[in-house]
Amino acid sequence: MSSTTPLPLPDFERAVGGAIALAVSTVAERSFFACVDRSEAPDLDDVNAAEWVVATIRFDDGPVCGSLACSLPSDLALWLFDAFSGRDPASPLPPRHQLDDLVGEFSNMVCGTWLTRCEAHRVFKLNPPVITRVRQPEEDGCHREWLAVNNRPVAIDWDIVRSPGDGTTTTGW
Amino acid sequence: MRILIVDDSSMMRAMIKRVVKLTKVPVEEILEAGDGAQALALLEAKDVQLLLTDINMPVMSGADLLRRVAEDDRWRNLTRVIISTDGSEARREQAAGLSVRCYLQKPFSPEVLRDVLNDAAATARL
Repeated sequence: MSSTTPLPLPDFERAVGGAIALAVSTVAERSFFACVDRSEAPDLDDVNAAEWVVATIRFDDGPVCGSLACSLPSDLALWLFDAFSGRDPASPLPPRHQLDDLVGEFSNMVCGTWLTRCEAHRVFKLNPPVITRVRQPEEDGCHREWLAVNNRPVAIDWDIVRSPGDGTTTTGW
Repeated sequence: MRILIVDDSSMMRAMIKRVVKLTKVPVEEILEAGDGAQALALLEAKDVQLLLTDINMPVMSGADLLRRVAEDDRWRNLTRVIISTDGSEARREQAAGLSVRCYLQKPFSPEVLRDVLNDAAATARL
């Protein structure tokens, strides 16, 4: 365990938000050939999305526990599916469970890349993604980062609970 | 060469399979399993030369699968590769104790997997 002085909370949150943005960028560019930019929170009523697909990953067994959820408009999920699988967009739509699996794997890679960067010296356990579909991604008290993937909004919600008595942040956070 | 891909995501298995085919490395058969227990059953039934496995999976994890493989002399020549989102140094050190040939962190580039396949194919020919 590093003995560095804890970051003040707003700085900590900014640092985590930056690390998450970098993880999304790494995953989207390397596995999905997509472009990622920082983004302001969109007016959700203006986002033309039939629904949003949300994949939530809980992690534990490390010095920190918590969760990370990626919320994607369903059309972006389908675009990512095509990029990942090589599906011809003109062919029949994939079954819903495959699309859910894809969004789960996207979130899994984002979470793993993020935690690996932040906690390289610790083993962590990622639980299987839980997929939900919503009309709009609700704010539920987590920290939220908005990014644009191929110019479509993506919300990343994260929540971290540090271990009791762990007043330090390790160097990666 | 016969390959076994172990991952609880069918999309990830399909993607790895697609990359394997693109590399043009001669492959006799590609088998798939959704967890470590299914993988063990396939290893019992088929002569596999290359095992590509995830770590975090339900039922039986990749780490438990690799422990079982390491304990059984029948699989001493099986080339073992981890493909996982967990790229921590701690996890890599654990893997080193399980006779793992290499450790790929997701997301990985197709070129890296091609190099792994070429290496495994060369070993299988020995």
